Amino acid sequence: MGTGTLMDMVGSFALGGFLLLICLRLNAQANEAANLYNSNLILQQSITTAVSILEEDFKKIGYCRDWTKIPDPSKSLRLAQPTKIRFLTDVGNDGSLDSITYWIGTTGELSATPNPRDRFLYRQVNTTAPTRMNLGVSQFSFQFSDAENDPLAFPIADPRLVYYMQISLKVESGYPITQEYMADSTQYEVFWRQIRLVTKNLRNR
Amino acid sequence: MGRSSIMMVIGFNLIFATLGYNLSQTSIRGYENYIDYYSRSVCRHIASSAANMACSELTFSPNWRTGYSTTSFFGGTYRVNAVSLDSSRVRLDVTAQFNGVTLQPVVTLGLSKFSKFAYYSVVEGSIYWITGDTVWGPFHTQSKMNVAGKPVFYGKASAKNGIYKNPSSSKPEFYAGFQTGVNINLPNDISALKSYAAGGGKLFTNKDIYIEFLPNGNVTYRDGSWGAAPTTVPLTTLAPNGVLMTDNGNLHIKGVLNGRVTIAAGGTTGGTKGRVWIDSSITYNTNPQTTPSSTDMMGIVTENEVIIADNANNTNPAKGVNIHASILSRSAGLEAENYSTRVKSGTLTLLGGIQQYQRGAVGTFASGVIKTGFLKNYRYDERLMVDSPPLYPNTGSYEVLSWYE
Repeated sequence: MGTGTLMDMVGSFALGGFLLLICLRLNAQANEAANLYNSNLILQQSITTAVSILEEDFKKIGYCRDWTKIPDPSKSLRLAQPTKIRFLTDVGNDGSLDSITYWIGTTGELSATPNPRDRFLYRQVNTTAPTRMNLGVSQFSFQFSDAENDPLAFPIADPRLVYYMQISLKVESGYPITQEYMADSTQYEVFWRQIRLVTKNLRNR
Repeated sequence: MGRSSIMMVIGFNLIFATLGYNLSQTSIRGYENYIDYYSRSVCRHIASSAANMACSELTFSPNWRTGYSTTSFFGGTYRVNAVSLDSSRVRLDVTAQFNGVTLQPVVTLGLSKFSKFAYYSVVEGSIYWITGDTVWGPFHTQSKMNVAGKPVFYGKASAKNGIYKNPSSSKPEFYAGFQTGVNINLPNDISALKSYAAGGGKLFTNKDIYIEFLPNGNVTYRDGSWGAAPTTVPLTTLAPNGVLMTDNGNLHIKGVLNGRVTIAAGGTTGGTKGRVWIDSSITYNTNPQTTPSSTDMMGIVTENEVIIADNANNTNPAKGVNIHASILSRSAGLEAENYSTRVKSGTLTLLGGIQQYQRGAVGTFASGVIKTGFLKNYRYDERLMVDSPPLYPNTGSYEVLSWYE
């Protein structure tokens, strides 16, 4: 066991140590990347799920299979608040008139996640127990405009004045990723009174 | 050393390959998520476009039932079947496909009736809608809508030639929206009603008919004057299909209607025939304002004026005059006889709607105080949004009744 052998051992330990550090670092980065990708995926799925649910309901505002039950579609919107909305529709397409209410809960309700901003999104059909969705929604708000596309100030005493609405939706991850919360947001405008077809020569009700 | 190195390289390769595969799968799922959403969105746009195109076809050709066979569009396909539900309703069955997604919206359209309008005019002239004016149902004018201040329109409002605000700060309140460029012409004549009256209704020719509606569902009519010999029959016997008309004559009406009827008076445009005279109040037996399930409904259709007679029945300020009906005057309007010289006659209460060529005068005012004739209190009969008097003229165009996606 001469000096040469000792040097070989020190060298191999050093090399082995480097290799081990590289492996550990690789493992950490792989985990981080996987976490990032997965969180991104969950966020994407959350927002597309939320938007799909909203679109499914909102595109049917004022719809009823038995159209005589909504003789005046302008009365379909029953409540128009900054973060809460109620409208008439036909949930099961069975000809019976239903109402759907959407609102966003408080941050205190969703204290199980570290994110201080995420909340439950509530959906209630008629007077049944509301369904709450934990999709990481941190913003769910409305801006309403009248027939001349002028913004309406809150409170809106008569929702019949509403002709356009803009829904803002923001979804955030419940847990911090790379030291911060990821966020995905979308803003889209819904020409909500689609029963009034945008064909100028068509005699809408 | 050689074998160990190879094993280590292979091991690292396997680890990298697994990690890479997992990450790419996660990434792919993310893309698939968005692609799926994108596909559904595009498919919905294709379906909406197809439905819009079919609606447009129906607008220009109300008898269009050809539909569309499977057609390529925006990377997908659509197909539309147009199905007649009855003589006045059409259903569009749309099928759209895109990237494996299929959507099948159903659009139901119905022929629009003039009776749905709370207010319709061809000529507005210099009339302004001002602060304090309220229209409770759908509004349309073939002219320009003149606005000063903040009039309120609770129904959908439309004007063929747009809106004129004077002053420009005027802010009308449209509770059901406002649309310009909408063209809805009055019918060229009322000959269709003559056909209905002759076939299944009651048609008088070259006669002035005096009609009193009775609360028990009967109707008493006289030929030539209120003093002539009366004939009393159930309304459903006199006019089984609900259309009662005098051609080249005038109708004088009063009473309480129990049932459904459209009365009409035909004549030469601008002549002295083709008028309906309101000789006293004409009301429903069951008032829909207090009993919304009321089925009583009247339509008054004239070639010329609908006139509130200047007689003892119609000049009591305490009683005023009540008219429960939807009124269509093809070439004139609703007016009061001797409106500028008759005594102050109380309030003219109209429950229904009025569609006319041009507004007629019912009184005169000075500094907001009535001098002669009537004060006005027009309320919309909300049943007219979904119902109409028998065989009341339609606009000739379809409107969307429901749109299901």
